[in-house]
Amino acid sequence: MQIDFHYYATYCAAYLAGFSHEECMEICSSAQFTDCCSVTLLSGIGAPLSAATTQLQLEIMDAKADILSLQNITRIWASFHFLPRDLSADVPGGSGLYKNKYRLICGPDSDLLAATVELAKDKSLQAAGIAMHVLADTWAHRYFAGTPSMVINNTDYDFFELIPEGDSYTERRVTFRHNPSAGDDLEKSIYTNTVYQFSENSVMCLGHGRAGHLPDYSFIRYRYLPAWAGYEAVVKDNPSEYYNAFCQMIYAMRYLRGDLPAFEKGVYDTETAAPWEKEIRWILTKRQPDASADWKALGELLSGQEIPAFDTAPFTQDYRKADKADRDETVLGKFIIAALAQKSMVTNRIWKSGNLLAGYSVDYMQEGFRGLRDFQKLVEISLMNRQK
Amino acid sequence: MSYLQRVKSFMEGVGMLLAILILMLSDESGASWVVFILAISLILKGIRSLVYYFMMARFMVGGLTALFAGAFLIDFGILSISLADEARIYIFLYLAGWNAFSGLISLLRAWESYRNKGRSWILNTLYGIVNIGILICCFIFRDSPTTLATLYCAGLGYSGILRIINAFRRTEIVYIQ
Repeated sequence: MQIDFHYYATYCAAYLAGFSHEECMEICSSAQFTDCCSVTLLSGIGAPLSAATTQLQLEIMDAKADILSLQNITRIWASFHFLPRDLSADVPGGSGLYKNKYRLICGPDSDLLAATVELAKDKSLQAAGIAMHVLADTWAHRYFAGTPSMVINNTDYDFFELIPEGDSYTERRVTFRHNPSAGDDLEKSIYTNTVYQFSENSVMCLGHGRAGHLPDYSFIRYRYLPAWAGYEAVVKDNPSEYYNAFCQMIYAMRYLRGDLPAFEKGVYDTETAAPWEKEIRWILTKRQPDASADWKALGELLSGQEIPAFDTAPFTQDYRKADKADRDETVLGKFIIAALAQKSMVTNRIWKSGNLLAGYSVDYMQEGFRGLRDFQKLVEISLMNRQK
Repeated sequence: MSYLQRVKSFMEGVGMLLAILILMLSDESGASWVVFILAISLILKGIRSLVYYFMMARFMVGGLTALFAGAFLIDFGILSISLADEARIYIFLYLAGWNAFSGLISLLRAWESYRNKGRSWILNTLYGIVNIGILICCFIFRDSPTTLATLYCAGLGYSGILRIINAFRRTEIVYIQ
């Protein structure tokens, strides 16, 4: 997903869930900031680098092919953008290596999603924003894994866009090109994707790179042969999936607000969204590369307040100016703590399932502090909360 | 990293440093040894590709390519061994290609980091300059197999030391409920 959904649609969902305009702004800003918080940004302000929630294109290109880099990539992308659906999925045949990759395939309504939303409960609004980013991406990035893998993420020429025509659809073959500076041509179904590289761990096969930007467009419907599905075609209907994502965000945020006693998988708050369903579906199906203007208009109609354009400056400026002791209380400070918690939790679940693709996890309560120093803050906060 | 992965990383690093020692002591035949190492790497890559096919790629749409690629790489590796006497051009192509790519990426990263007010731009610029410097050296000394072999050793040494450092790095992610 892109800024239109992570920022403006998240604002709309938060408002419908009952948050005030100011709270909605904090939530949707953090949801969008998850796509901006890179090592490059963090190093510029002296923040812990382990809190990175994304990687810039050149950071990925520059990543080495050694095991530590691959684990770092997997931790970032599986924790925040491609939450695995089933870490114990049964895979007929295949080696352990293949199974580990297969089990990182992203999808909605997983145990990990429930754990993600529960982790944000009674935490900061920034934690809620991160959780909403993760939740929304489980719908958009379904069928792809947040680890470099050709056997999972590769695509081939059998890729068609389904164009609505009356009550049915016509198929149009998708043409992929590899020029990142050329925009997608929606009229001719010409999209940019990553270059085919014959290497299992090539970063060109990270996430949906080989399918281009298609999973991130709300209007699109497509049929393709995923590398992992044994030559069975998969149809992805983004307008329907994005609507589910929107309704599930409302439900999750009502839980985070304390309106609901528990968060259950597979529940979508269609009732709250119902009065606006027509408008939302209209935005979701409108053929355009960026739906920000339409979502912004809907958000402002809902709250009667202006939604300013997204800007990373408020995040970084306050953090830079704050004394070291007060940094945790800034917006970015809260975001960093929430990001570390999410990364730590997801890595632990993946590791516990016997899968080492995201690296090693050490349970502090059992083994004490042994590992990356950036996570010391997380331990201190957790111990402080226990004492309270 | 698991203990096994740490041991593997350490051993690979030590192996690379030993290879440098052998290459430096071989004087004139050093360049042929470099080609021999590159050829063996190709054969190992081919074997890895075959293993990859049987363990993973056979489940993948279009995975048969891995089988053919494996066979081709082994074949090409064996051919390269027989061409070890014409070592200079192979080392030159390898070094020039690798350093041109790495240098470009490092400089682009430096620019990106500078624009984002990151601190790593100085280090990235330095990496880029070193890579471009090696690339220029490759062109200047393209007729000297000994110098090309020395440049190859420099890269090998860098990778070896990195692997040894990685073997001792803290990598665990701490979890607390």
